[in-house]
Amino acid sequence: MDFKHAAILGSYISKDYAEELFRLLANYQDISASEAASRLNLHIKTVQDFLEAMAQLDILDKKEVFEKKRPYFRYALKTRNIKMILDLDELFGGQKQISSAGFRIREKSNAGVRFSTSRDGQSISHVAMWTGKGREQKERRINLSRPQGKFMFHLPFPSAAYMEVTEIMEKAGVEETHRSEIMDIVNVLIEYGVIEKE
Amino acid sequence: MLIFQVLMIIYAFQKKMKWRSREILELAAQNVERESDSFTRRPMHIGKSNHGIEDLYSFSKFISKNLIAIPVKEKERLIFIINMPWEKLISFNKQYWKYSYVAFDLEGDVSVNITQEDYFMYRDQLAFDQLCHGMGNLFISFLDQYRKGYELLIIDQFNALKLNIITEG
Repeated sequence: MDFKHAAILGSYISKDYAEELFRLLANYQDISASEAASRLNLHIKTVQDFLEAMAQLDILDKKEVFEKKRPYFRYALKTRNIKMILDLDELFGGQKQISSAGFRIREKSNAGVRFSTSRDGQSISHVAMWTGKGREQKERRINLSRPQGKFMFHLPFPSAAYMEVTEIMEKAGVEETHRSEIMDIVNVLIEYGVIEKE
Repeated sequence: MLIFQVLMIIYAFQKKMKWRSREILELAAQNVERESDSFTRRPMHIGKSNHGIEDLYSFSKFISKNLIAIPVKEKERLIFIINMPWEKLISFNKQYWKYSYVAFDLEGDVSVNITQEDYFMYRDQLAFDQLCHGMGNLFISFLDQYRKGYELLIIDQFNALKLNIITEG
């Protein structure tokens, strides 16, 4: 299951009427939104949204029926088990792809950012920058992990030559196992215009 | 009183009453190229120096005695503050990290911080990374010369600049 579908399932499953609705679905061959709503004393729109979402996730079977009145949908449970498995490997894969591109970076000139050094003076503890304009301007402060701080301390200055991420990591003594968190902060700071790519 | 005044004048001409901040900034900027918009507010790691702790501590005494910089001992490093105002020198909360400094850590790492105020003292906009390297390497070379017993050579480098004896800093 991807994050998008997991988020939908999670948000509906967490509703306090979710269990009662599933109990109804388990007991009925099929059920319409209005029948379920009247049975549980809920608003029809609430039940309809729930059933639609479950049908979208392939948990319910949705069938259009025509009786004397206008057509409507009846829902039936398709499965007795709902499994939510999130594959986090995909996220690791994404980071590796970025880092393997081997892009060269340095600090952007006039970034308008404030760096605070750690107590030992050998790393950056946090980066503060301003976002928004005029009255909407707010300070955005990012606290760095120790490997990120060491990496930022060795980031080439705006007037210095670009360096590869791997090179900076080696210079800063940051181990390869921290690459994903390094790439995370690099990407964020590129987005905020603190770091520039060659 | 007259003797005191004469002594003061002699000391002033010998540059024994004046901090060498401006001269350090001048020496650090030698051979640095011009480049605009290169300033950044963070310290720079310069490299390694193969100094011993004892050397470093005796060097710090030489540095303070000759009014080159103010040494501050920290848990894991020794910092040489370059341009601290007089009023801050006597205050309890010195907040020395707000000033320009060269720091030698006990593992040999050397880092440099140059403040915007000091950077703007230069007439030209200089490549900031080269300037930091210049400052760090200057102190590394001072330390090397000191270890070899060439203390006078260090003072000569300052005097050779022939800066005004009355100007501040």
